[in-house]
Amino acid sequence: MPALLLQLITESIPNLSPLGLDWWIILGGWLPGSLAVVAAFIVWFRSWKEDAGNE
Amino acid sequence: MSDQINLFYAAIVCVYMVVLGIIGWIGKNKVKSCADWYVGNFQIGGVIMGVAFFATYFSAVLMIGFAGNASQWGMSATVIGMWHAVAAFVAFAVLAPGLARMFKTLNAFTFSEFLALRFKSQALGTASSLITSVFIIPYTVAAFIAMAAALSSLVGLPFWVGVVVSGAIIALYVFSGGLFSVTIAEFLQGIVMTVAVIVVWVASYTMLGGVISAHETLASISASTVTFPAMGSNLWATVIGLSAVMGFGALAQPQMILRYSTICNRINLKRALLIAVLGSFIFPLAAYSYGPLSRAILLPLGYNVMTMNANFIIPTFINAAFPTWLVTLFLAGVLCAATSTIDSLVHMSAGTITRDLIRPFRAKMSDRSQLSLTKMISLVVTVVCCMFAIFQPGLIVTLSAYTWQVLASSFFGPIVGALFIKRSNKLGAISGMVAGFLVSQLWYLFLAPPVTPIYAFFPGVAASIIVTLVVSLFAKPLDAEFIAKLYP
Repeated sequence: MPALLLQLITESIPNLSPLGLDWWIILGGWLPGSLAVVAAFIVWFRSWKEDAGNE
Repeated sequence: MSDQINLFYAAIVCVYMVVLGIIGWIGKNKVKSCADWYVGNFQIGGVIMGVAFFATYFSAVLMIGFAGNASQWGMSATVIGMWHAVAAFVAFAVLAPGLARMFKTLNAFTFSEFLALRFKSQALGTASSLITSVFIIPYTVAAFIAMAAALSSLVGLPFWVGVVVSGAIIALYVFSGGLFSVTIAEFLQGIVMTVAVIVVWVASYTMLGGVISAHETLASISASTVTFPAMGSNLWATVIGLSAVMGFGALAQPQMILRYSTICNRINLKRALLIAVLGSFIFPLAAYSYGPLSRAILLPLGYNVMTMNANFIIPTFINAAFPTWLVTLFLAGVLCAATSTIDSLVHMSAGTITRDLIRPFRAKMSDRSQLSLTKMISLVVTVVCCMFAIFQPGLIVTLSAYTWQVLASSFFGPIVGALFIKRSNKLGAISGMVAGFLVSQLWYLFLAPPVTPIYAFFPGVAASIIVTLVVSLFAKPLDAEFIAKLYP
């Protein structure tokens, strides 16, 4: 039932992602935000590994 | 029953005041000098500073004000929130290493003092502290309004009493402990407010049957709640403008700069980076999501958010839709979020007024009398902002966006010059600050949305950076020995 409803909405609203939100919302906001989190983790992990190696 | 519940919430507020009083007392015992009060003697660790960063960044302004507006704007508002994480990354990965090094080298305690010492210009320090002290007031007032709106809606207090209680809470511990108290409190507040927004976020999706089902329900109310606004429309201008203002605008806010420039060492900086970015991702995503979801939940309860005052949508939503324990948690979260931002604004304003506006003209001011004066001014700033807040001069979103645009436009150029351009000098920094300030003010008055779809932030920041760089090229550079000390 939810899948059918989503299909109906998708047909009436173009650009809808599988989450039920416009692709512009995902690509213009959620993606850059997620990339920032990944980049922060990489920077922290490299620094942590470097410090562990020094000890 | 209703009175009993109100008394229960009032008791929560009292407990919160006692906890902050204890933190203030602990902080008071640690404060022995101005360096302790202003910058925690550059000894504050990465984990605490990371949480303090996003606790300062996000406040009841976001939980109540922006989330309330998001309920009218739809899920496209989450785009604004997601750029906060990008801004936090830029703050800690790009700006913080250089700023932290320069703050320590110059022994600067405030942002204006940093500018004055970096560009060897007391005039620049005085002008920047004047802009900061005056234009931070609308944002502080907005934070007081948000906190008082929550207190009046959830506890049942009259709005003005909510403002007075908010002011008393802030005065209690900023007065005593300075940055030590502020950051210790912000660490605890950051955790409580994050838990509160996440629980409301998850509960909202659960009430609507899960993520996809919730978005379907929103779409069935109006397609605009799940789509990105059409290019050039008022909402499009708002989403794009606020993404930049509330995201990258944060990088040039003096109270935010004090958060990421006073960290003690490199490893703490990386820890703070991870925590600040994670917090800046989760918190706004949750708040900007439960805002629009409140529209779908409130509609069957007889509330139409499109006809409500945006400042009161979220308190009404929480009160009407959730059980007592969740209302209590949210109230605690709002108290934490509001105080964690207001305290840093009061702390920063009092420090700037004393150290950059009064001290340069009173040469014989001792460290002790400076500390006493700063504490007294923190009380005065609190009282003045409370008096403005009682009259609710505007929507939370409008007041906040205005402050952030003016401050970012004024300071972006001097910050970029100070950090990345060795040749940047006094004349360049002063010209960039004045140009950014004037362009943003004029744009705000005559060309801001809805006249054009462009926020004053964009031309203001562009003018500030370009004028700083161009004028610096033609003015006399600072002496080479001083510059070599700043850029090792």
